[in-house]
Amino acid sequence: MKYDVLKTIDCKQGAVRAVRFNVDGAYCITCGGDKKIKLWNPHTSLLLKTYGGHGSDVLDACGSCDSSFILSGGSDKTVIVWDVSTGQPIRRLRGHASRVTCVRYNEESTVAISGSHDNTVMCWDIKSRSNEPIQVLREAKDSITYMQVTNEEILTSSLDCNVRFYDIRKGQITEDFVGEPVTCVNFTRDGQCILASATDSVIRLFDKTSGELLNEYSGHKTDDFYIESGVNNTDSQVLSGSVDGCVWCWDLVQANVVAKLQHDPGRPIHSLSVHPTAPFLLSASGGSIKLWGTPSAENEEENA
Amino acid sequence: MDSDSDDDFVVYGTRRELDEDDIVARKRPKSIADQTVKDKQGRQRFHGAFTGGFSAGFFNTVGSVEGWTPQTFKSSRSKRADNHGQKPEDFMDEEDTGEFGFAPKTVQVKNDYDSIEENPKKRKFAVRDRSALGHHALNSILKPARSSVGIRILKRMGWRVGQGVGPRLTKKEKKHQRQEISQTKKIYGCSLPESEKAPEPTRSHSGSETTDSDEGDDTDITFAPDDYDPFLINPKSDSFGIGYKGLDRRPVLSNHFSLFEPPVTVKEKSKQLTIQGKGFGVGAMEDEDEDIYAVDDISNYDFSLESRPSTSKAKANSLKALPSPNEPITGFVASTITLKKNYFPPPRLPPNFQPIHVVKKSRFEPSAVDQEDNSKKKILTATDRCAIIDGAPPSDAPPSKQCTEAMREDNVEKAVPKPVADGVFRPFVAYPDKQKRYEQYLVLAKNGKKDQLSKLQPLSMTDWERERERLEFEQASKLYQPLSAAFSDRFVVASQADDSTDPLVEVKRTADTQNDRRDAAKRKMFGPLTRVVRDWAPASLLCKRFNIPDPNVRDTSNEKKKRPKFSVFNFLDASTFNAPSVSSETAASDDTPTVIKQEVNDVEVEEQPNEQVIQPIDTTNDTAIADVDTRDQNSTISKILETGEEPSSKEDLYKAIFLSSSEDESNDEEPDPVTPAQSAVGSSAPAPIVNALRNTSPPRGIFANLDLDALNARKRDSDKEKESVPTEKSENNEQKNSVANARECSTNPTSSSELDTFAYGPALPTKPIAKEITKMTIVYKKPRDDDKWVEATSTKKNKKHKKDRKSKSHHKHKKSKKHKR
Repeated sequence: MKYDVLKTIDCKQGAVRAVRFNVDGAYCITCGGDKKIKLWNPHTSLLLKTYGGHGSDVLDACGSCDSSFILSGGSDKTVIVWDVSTGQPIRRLRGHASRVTCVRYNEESTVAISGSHDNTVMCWDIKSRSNEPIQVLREAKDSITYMQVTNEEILTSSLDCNVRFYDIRKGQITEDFVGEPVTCVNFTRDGQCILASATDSVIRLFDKTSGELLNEYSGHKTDDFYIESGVNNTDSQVLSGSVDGCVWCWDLVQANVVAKLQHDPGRPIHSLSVHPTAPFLLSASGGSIKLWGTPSAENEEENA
Repeated sequence: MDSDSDDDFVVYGTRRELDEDDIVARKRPKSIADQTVKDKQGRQRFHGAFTGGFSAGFFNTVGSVEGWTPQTFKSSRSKRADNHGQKPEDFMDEEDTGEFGFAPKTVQVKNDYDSIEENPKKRKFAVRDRSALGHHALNSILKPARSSVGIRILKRMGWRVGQGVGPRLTKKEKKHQRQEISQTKKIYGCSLPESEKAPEPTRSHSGSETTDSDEGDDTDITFAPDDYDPFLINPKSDSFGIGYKGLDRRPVLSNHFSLFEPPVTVKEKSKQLTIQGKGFGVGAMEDEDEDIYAVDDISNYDFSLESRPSTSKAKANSLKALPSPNEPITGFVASTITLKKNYFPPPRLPPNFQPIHVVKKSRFEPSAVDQEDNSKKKILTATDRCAIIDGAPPSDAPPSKQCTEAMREDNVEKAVPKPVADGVFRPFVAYPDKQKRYEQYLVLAKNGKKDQLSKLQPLSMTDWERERERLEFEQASKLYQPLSAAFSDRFVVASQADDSTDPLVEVKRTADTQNDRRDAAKRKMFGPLTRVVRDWAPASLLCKRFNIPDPNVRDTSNEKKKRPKFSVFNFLDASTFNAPSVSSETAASDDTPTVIKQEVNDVEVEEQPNEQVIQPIDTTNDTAIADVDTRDQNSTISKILETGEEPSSKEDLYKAIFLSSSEDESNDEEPDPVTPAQSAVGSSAPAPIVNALRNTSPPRGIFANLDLDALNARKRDSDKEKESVPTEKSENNEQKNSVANARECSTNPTSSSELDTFAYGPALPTKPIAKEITKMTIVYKKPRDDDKWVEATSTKKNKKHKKDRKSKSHHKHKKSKKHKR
């Protein structure tokens, strides 16, 4: 599978801290260093709306399941729920003691979950008017870097070298010691494996049920950046940003480098978002984002 | 005409000149503009026609001449002591507290005014707030009866109740005075005719003398003047005529009426005419209506034919006068039961109570008790005295408290184990007895016999003290607990003393619990070494929002399930699931006793006849098989029990049971690998079986492309090959397993390939065949997998529905928004 550059968007909002597809991949959200969030149609490079209200850098954002709300968190320690259509902040959730590094909705977008630099993960009830978190997960001993939420699990990575997943159904927390500070963690699409990228420039694939190491992917460089990684939509490739300005693609099973997508030479690619269903990829580097994909898929998307 | 009219009349005198001043002096109607309400300072009070605003600020502006001046900041730092905080008065104008303000204040006599008892210096004028706020209605109800200040002063001056006030009089003077008073008696309204005048009532209360006697005409003896009749004024609160009482406001039915009193009375006999109880009068010209609401009264009826006895006067008198204490009030009957008053004895004083309270001048002063000790005024107890006298305990003394106490203590010591050893914090060291009791209490609490504390306590303690001590102990035991697990997790016990001064002392590196994990991670031995699984309690609301049943609630039921019970159902699972594992165990490890093999064979033999029934049901219904199998298992159990096998074999049996239960769990939950604990229990479980138990859902994701079935099939084929050649020897587990199978096969007439078809297909063999148990497990698993699959899809469907609904509702929302616009 080959990825080509389909669109390049200069977001004009300072450094793009994060880029995220929405739930169906039709839109994307970029979080800017200028305290703004922008909603785009990446396939047409169309700016749809700008959301201003954060007091500082926006570090992560997430669209709700019905795409009517955006959840965002930033350096101003707040988590904000935005109304997509009006652009107004609906709720501001204050409670974190330090910058909010990652935010996620649960599957039904009834709970906002935010991870922070203050070592906690907070679960906020969006349905009620309560301003107190439902639950605070204090297991991490260092900053939370990345988070994934499925319908019954919360997967977090932390700089304390651990990947934790909280199984709500079992009432169980599983800590997997990785040995290096973990910057990004993702479930594979089948939910059976965990992909964790660490600061030692190695991405590891673990079996979720046993915690055994299945594969390792290396070659790229992370340095001191929070480099994000991901699995493509068919679970065939592992994708990761790198300091050298390329998106590295590995074969999941063979662990050999399949492709290197040149984004912006010399500038690290720190954020990455994989389309939930189609072979598209968004990468963010500096102030611009790029949409990658196969042209045929793009055509299909347009037809659809 | 008018012009002529002047001429028509003759004018006498000269017309007076109209005085200019007079005209000016004539009162002109004041213009409305002039009719302004002004306050004391001459400022306009109200502004605007209807607003009724109050005057504010400087000439109705705000602030001062310069305009509004903000309050200057005053540091309260230096005078923090007199910073009292704000009162409502600070925000009110002076008019507000005036007569017409909303919080009028008047100067009043203090309620507890007392010129004599109180220090006059302290006397203050109580400024009572007349506003409803802050006035306690309850206070006025509970006010103690007390005489007025004037009466108290008079009493102080020698006046007695019942006497009049004024200079003392001789008898003659007094008589004269009395006559004067009677003559000048005022009569309101028409005076009654002279004949009907009531005789002057005798004064019953005039204290000094009651009878007129002409004898003792002593001028020396003087008397206090007569007291005036207290002139009681009932405040009139209604606008009815004098003496009229309106109808009762309460509704007719709720009104309590008595049969003995005429509801409407016109008392003519006692010369006063009192009228009560009619809403509207009847005019002179009209007849009185029939009173439909009148309440019939029993006194309206005659009970005998004879004429009424003329005791009306007496009756009237009795009505007027208060009944004597012995006679009951009309309508009441003297009670036959004498009322017994509840007598509450005064509280018993504690034995060490001192009636004198010594106020300490400073808190550093030694306490009164200490002083007493110092002065050796200690009250000697019986034992003390004995010790002083001869050192022998009081033996001939009657069984005193102390004796019983000692006996009790003996009993208690028998009942109560010795207090726990050192290491426990001692909060009551100052009181050794109490400390001892506390330690004993701790032991009791440990044993769950807290209520036996009362037995420990000496009799001399009052109930109140006992209760207090019990509470104290409870508190102390709570406070001085060892650090809870949550805390001890976070803190490390200091290796150095707090007061150590040497900062350069080498700090020992604490044992790093993560070290082994780090090593394992370094050696890339991820898995059980790097994994920690802990219990975690998600908040119930979180579970709710995730649409997941609360695991905390479910946990209890799970625990119940986990409890190793020797139940028939456990046994059922043991046979179906663990027989293969046990058999493979026997094959894998040669050192296991041969008894197990026998037992397993027994089980197999026992099951054989039932197999036909079991297997077809297996595929359809799980519960049915349970019924069938229980019978089966019962028989096996009984058989085992009867045979009275060796303990070692029994142990294995139990092991098998527990193993089954743990496997059962893993089935209930997600396909799970063998956790270390599990593998420790069932160390013999061979890999292929575990894998079969593990992930049986169709391959997804990265495994999607792999043909697992094909792989499995190949393996099975190879197994078959090995089975077909039983003599072939090999080292690995699987092969051993196959050898075991082969052994079984040798006992069974049917081949394994036949069994294969039998296991999956619905066709039944014609004759009972020995079961190959590994196959049976597969059969047993199959329907479960199906169940699981179905469940998964159903949940997905549900979610879809929800999403649909949500999107619909969203559309609605949007629509409504549009409408609004």
